[in-house]
Amino acid sequence: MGSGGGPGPDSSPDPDPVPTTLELLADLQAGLLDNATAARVRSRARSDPESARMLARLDSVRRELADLGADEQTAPDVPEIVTARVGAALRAARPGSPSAGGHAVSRPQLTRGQRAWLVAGICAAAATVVLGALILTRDPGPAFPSGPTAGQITVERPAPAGFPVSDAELRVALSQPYDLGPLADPQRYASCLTGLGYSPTMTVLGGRPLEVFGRSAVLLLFPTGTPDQIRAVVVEPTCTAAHSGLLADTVLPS
Amino acid sequence: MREPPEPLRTDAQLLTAHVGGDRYAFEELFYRHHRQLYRLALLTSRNRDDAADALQDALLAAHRAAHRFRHDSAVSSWLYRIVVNACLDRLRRNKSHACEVLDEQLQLCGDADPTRRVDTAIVVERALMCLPVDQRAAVVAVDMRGYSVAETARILGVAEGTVKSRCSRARSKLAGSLGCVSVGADMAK
Repeated sequence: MGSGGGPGPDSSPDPDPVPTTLELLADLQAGLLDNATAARVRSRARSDPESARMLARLDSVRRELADLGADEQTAPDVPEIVTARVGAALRAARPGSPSAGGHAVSRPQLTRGQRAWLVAGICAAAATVVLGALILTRDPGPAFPSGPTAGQITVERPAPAGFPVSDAELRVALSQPYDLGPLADPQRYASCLTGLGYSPTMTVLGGRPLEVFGRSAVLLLFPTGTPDQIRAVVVEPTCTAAHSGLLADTVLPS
Repeated sequence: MREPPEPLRTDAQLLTAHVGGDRYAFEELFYRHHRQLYRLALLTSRNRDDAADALQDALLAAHRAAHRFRHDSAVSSWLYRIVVNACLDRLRRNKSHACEVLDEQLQLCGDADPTRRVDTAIVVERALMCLPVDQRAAVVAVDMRGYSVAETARILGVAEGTVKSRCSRARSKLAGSLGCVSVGADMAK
C-alpha cells in the first residue's frame, strides 16, 4: 500500500494524526469539517496523489448524479399499473382552475349515491351471509358454472371461467372465520380496498391467504349490493391503495 | 406497452392547454415525462408503493396548481420538483420506516454486472438503490436535483448537518461502488 521507495517502519510518523480516507474527503466536500481540519485535509489532498484521486472520484460521483437527473432516456419503464392508476386519477380530477382551491381527487370521495350504495351494501352483507350459508348447505352444482372438461368435473370444478380459485376453496372461505393474512392489518386492508376502488370500510364476507398462479395471494369475498351475488377478488399480498395487485375478480351467483 | 402520445405540443403549451380546460393535456404531459418522474419517485422513496403513492399525489397536486405555474423554469423541472418534494415529505412523515432495505433493492445491488458494458446511468442508478433511503433521498435532492442543503433539511424535517452527513456518506459509498464497477469493467477488457 505504501508508495514506492517509502520510509522504513521506524521512520517518523505522519504529523497529521487523521488519515485521509474517502469518508474524510467526502466530509470535506460536504462542508462537515471545522475550518482547521478542513484546511489540513485540503492541504494534504493537494500534495497526496491518492487523496487527489479520491477527491476526483467524489466530484465525479456528483457529476454522474447531476447527469442522471437530466437524463430521461435511460429512465426505466414505469409499471403499467402505476401509469394506469395515475392516468385514471388525472382523468378523474377536475381540470385545473384558478378558483379550485380544494382537493380535486386525491383519494376518491364518496358521492351521495356511493354512500347510498355503501349503506345498501352493508345491509346486503347481512343478507349475503345468509345466502352464503345456503350455498354451503345445498348442492353446490348450480352455484357456480361447471368446468369446461369432464376431468375437471370429476376432480374439482373451477369457479367461473378464468377465476383461479376453486369452488371448494370459495366455499371454505365463506364457511370459516375470515383470515386476511397479510391484509389483516386494518390500515393495509383499508388501503387495499381503496386500491381496488371500494370504500375503505367495505364489509368483507370471507377471505383467506392462498396460492394462485404459483404465487401467494389473498382471496376476498364482498357483498355486491345485489342480494344474490358475491364478489370474489384475488389480490397480491402487497395490495395497497397505490398498487392493488389485482389478480382475478369475478361475481359469483348464489 | 403504452406508446406515449406524439409530442406535437411543447410542455408549456400542454400546461397552458390544461389550465385552459383541455381535459387530456395534463395526462399527455404526464405520459411524456412519466419514466423520469417515476425514477425520481423510486430513488427518493422507501419502496415502490410509496413511490407510486407519492407520484400520484404529486401529479394531482401539480394538476391542481398548474394555473400558478409562472413559466420561469422548464415545466419538466417543475414537475420533477413537485415529485421529489412529495417523496421527501412522505419520508419525513414515515421516519420510523426510513431504514428499511427492500429485497428488490438488494436484487438490484447484486444485479450490476461489471463485466459487461452497462450504461453508466443504469449503473449509477443501481448503486443509488443500494444506499439506505435517507442517504439516497438526500443525495438525490442535493446532487441530482440541485436542492440546497437548507431546503432539503427543511422538507425532510432534519438538521442541515444531518443532510450534509447523509450526502457525505452517500457520496463516499457511491465513489466506492462506482469505482469498483469501473475497475471490474477495465479488468474484463
